[in-house]
Amino acid sequence: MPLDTTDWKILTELQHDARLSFAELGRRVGLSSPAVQERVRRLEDAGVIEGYHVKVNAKKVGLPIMSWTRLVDLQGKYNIEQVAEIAKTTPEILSCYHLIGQDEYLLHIVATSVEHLELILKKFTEYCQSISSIVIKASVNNRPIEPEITQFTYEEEES
Amino acid sequence: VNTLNSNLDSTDWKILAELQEDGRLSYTELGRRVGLSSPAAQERVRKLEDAGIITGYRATVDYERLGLPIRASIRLDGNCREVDRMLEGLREMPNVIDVYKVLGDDCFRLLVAVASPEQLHSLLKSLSIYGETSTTVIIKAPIENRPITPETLSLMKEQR
Repeated sequence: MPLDTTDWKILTELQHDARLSFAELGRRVGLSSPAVQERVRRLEDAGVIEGYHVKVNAKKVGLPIMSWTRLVDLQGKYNIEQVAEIAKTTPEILSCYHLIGQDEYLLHIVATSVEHLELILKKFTEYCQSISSIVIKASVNNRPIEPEITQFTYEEEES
Repeated sequence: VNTLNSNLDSTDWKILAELQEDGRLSYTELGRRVGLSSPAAQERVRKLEDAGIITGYRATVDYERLGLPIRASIRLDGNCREVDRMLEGLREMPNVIDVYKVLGDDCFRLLVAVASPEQLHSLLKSLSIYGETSTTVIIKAPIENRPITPETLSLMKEQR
């Protein structure tokens, strides 16, 4: 689906505040409420918008420990499907990425304590080694996608 | 049972579950689902926002459909004393979707989304002024941004 500048404006607004009313969203992008509602429905139907979600502060609901954990195969015991299955049935694992290359899986985990994190990681010890980095702070979280992103060029520094 | 979340009752958790599933639910529909009137549901949501438990509402988009078919995880191992300067630089890079400051040798864990291998290459070159990077491309995400529920805090009974 080709996106025009109005689509991009709608996407930008909804990535910043998904609870905007259609009336307010329309006002911001220069469309009537029914017209903007129709645009949003098309973006949803095309799968460009996957969903709308509230962001919950894990720390404030009793999950102060956050970790990025790599699962690395050391002894060739790694069973991709088994590891994915364990991840799926572990509610503390918020995201699980299957990676190309030396690291096979990357897990984003929240826990009530370091002991709790240890218990979660024990599920995997039979299959692989885990290497965890405890998060101090999420400095950028789910940055909204902007239209110029695919064309953005980075300045190369001389080394 | 964890006590840190004792200020949230079961209705609050129900509200969080519904809004993590569909952040655009009307207050009328939300109230119907959790057994509250529309104004009562709105008041509860406002309290959760004021308490900083709800930090925002986001439309999630399909990166591939927006022209960003490649996603990668990058460990940035730099001079951790220059964190502020690094953060400033990272915030200027639109393809850097997530930045987590972590403990240990790696200063930062980044998640990026790019249009092409060339764009990833130029991003990595740009990052290299801050330190060593270690990059792996994501094949797929079997789980992503799973909702947080009371189960997340339940300490896995079957494990003990």
